[in-house]
Amino acid sequence: MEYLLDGFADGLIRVLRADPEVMRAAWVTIKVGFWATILASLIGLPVGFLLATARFHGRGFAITVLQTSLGLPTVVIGLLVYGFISRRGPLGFADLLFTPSAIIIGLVVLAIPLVAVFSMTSVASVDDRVRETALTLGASNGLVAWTVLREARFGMVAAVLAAFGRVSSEVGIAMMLGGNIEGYTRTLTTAIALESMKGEFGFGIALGVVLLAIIFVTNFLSRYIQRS
Amino acid sequence: MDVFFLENVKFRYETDLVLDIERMTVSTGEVTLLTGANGSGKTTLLRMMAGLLMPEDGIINYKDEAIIFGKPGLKHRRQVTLLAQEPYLFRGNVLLNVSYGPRARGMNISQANKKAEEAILKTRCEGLIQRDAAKLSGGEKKRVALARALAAGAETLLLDEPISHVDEENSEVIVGIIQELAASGITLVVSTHIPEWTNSLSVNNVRLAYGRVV
Repeated sequence: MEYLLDGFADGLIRVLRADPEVMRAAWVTIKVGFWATILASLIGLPVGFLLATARFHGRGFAITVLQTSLGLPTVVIGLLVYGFISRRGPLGFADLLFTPSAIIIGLVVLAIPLVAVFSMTSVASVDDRVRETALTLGASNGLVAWTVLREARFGMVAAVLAAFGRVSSEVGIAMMLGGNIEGYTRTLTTAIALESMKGEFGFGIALGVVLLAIIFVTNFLSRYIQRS
Repeated sequence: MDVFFLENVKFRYETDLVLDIERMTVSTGEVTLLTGANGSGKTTLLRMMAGLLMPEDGIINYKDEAIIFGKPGLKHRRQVTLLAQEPYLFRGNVLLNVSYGPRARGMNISQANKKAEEAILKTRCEGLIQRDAAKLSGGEKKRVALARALAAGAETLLLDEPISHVDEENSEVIVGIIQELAASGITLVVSTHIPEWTNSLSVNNVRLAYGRVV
């Protein structure tokens, strides 16, 4: 018990003192999470909108594939991306392995289905009358689509924030593709895994507290937006 | 001159034939009153005339041209506006809702707001202008939706049960506006299952029963 309490105390002291190693890992986590969320949103939001509004052959299959992808283990994504970007892989020439870009690619693959499915649900739940009202008020096709998007905007933002929360707390992809290089590719989650294995429980707690704070703020924003 | 001309118009929900109009016309500047019990086909007919619902069969012409339904029918949708029985107000305040039609027609924000304010005054909604549309009462929502339809500037208005589920005070305001619109010469097609409130209007009465004109 003493061991645990000492660990918590050490962790809190490191957080309060803004331990440079903790802050570096937090910065890498926020940086790769931010870019992965932006890129995944650029792809996932239009896909979600299209699946919610368009009717085309293979739509049901596409939705099933996306929903299945939600359950993909992160180490499997890590392994697949590793195969592509490792020296012997088709993208090996780009020398991406063990760089922040490699983590971002893996996290984008992880987040796209999440953003697409959440935004699809959000657009599909918009009242049917929105479209008809826009049509009867003389809106062009583009404005009708924009109006539907505008009505679903809180759900779309919530989808983006949920993706950020998910990619920030991910460990398998960051470990496999980033290589856990201190100050470069070491994220909060990979640092926790490393430090706890080294017996640095207090350090692990400090990293965990910062990670939880990031996820808490993200979820708080998401909830605030949905409620408003 | 006839603005609307309908002939042999049929529509089915699944296998039920809910509308079977042999012939019907609506003249320019006229108030056409669609009456009939609930489920007689009034809403379906109005949605077709608005270009939102395609008939299974038959002809629906507006100013001698066949209506193009859905998204491609932009020209028709800018000439004819439908006020739905349960109108939907977009997220945002009343001004944003009422200025939607003018903005959709390419007006800039200040022109669109000016147009919206005129319609808001006409529908006595000036006290609601900055209110959140989601927080309005049923009657207020209907008045705002009517203002929005007016601001859109369509030459023909289709009003589906404009005073249903509306309290007496809001109902009197809406009836007053409809009377003013009728006097101004705008073409109106109004559906109601309680026609008494239209006694003061000179109307062309079309009675529907089981989807047919009787």
